Amino acid sequence: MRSLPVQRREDEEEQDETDAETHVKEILRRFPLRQAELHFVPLQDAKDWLSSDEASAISVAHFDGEDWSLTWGAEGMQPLRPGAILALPTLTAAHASLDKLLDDASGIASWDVLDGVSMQRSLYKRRVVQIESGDHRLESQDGASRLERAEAERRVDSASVWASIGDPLPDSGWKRRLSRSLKVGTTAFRFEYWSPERGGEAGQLLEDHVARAQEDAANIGALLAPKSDFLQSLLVEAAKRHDLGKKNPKWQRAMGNHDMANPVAKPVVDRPGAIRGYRHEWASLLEMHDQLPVLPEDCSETDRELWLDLWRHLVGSHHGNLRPWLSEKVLDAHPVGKQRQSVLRLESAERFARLQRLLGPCRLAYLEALLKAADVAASQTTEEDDSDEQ
Amino acid sequence: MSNDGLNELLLPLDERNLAQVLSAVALAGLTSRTPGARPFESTCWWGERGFVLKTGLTEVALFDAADNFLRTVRWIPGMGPAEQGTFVAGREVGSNPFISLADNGQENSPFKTFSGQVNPAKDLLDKQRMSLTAPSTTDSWLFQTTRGIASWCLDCRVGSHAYDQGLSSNDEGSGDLDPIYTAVELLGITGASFFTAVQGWQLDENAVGYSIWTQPISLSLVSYAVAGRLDGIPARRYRVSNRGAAYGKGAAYRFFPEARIES
Repeated sequence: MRSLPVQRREDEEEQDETDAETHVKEILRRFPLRQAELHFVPLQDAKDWLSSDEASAISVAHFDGEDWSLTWGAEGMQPLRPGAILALPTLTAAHASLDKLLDDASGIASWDVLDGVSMQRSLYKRRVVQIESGDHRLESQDGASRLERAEAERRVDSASVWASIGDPLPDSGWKRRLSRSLKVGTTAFRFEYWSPERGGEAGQLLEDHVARAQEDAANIGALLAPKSDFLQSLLVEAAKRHDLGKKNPKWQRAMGNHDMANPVAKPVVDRPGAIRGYRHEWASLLEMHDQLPVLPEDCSETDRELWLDLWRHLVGSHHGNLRPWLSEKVLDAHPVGKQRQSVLRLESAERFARLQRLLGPCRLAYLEALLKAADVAASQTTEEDDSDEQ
Repeated sequence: MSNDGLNELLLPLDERNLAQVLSAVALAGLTSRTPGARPFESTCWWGERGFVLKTGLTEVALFDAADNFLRTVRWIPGMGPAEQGTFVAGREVGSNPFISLADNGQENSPFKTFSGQVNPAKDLLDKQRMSLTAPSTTDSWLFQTTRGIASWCLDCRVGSHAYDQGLSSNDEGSGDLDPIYTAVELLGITGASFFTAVQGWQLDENAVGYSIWTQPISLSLVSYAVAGRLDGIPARRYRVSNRGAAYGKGAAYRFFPEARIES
């Protein structure tokens, strides 16, 4: 990202006295930079540039792995560690040594990133609107919210609107999540961040989701191992049960659905409610414990035990938990007796360790990924959306 | 699964001694890979008088399995310091406990207690392995001692007397007289390399933390339990920082004293 405004403008939209630094940090925390917006530079080169005179005149946002801070060059900055992220204003594009460091500094465009490179839909869009004339202007040709110093004859005298992010924002289905007005030089801009509106999408019914997940699981199994009844039945049976725990009224209400006859698989509200530790996959596993699935035919006793172990493990771990443990907080949030849950948790952990030893960590992770792939494909969501699930 | 009919072996290991805790982890790990031990039914826990292993093995068979394993352990040096080598046992590659994963690898590992002049193979592992006495010839294989060989300094009983007086046993001239507990030395370092991820125990530049679980658990869960990752299992939490006594923070030779209980 190369657009960091440095001063805040007071206007009617924001009456609070929060300073520009706080706004910038808020934006960076809530709308993190995408991987493809970043230039990867050697640590020592970045350190050398930060200690240069050129850098001391530039405001730099630094992410140290935990939080963002703003400094001028290296002054006051925490030591730069591997993996640190620096965000610089696009106004710095004309600086020679920085251009050399970034190599391709003249051609940075972020709109493609914000539209999502490999995602099925954008995570967020940014729009910058010039709301007051001054000595800077918005160059939007490359869609990167590039701000530049305006020459006197080219100054914009009246407020104008520039949608800086490639495609215009759609009329519906998107909601403005954050709007902050900041001043760059003497020009005021409004930085808006938009993301898809959950309520604008039809909430996927749990029944439909599970049916699609089974279908996708069957396809994956058939493609990978057409002759393996073991794998195909394993994936389909795991997909069939993986979201049983979502039927719980507590989960449904937290996701914004109050029609218990038609449970949903995904949140239908922008901000799902907190359910204090409830994990739907753990609830699925608790419910599955007494159920017997359709086992593959002609299964030896050893294979049968392995199949059942994998079936339970894939369901329990499809959000990355129970590998091997769950916290006490999770157990407290479920209506089943604590002692029984403790026993099942221990069994689950032992099962995980047993499977890891038997199959090896990579093969087990691969099998976990197959169910996960079916789940994500059936959801038509991104992994990040999935993290909202509880 | 029922574990009736298994032997309950009480190993008088001290939960405050880092080397002995790692030895317990190694013995549990070795038991879990020995078919005659009935590993899936075996359990272990820490009791008032030491580490308890409920297994199909007898004590002699357990020590035999441990002795056989320890004799296969080798140090494969890297191109540079100890952080670049690794332990192997037969065809199995262990992890390197001298690597720190803290602070993006910029901190040193507290487990590297020796200076760059020490060769982990020549000065420590090979000599210790050569002096290890087979269990069939001793009744106290676990606590056998030898002198004149350096320690990995994870065992709080070793070397601390001189350091606590402000000088090393080299300066004191008593280095060759310091006993080491050979089996515990070897079990401790292999426990750290093959049976648990000690890099995750690091609390800061000098300190490590571990948990002592007091409820029987499956052997396959030992590496999680000792790292304190099994929330809800009754456990005592310990912390221990290595130190170089009068030589201060920069001392090249350090050792782990007795751990103190935190909770």
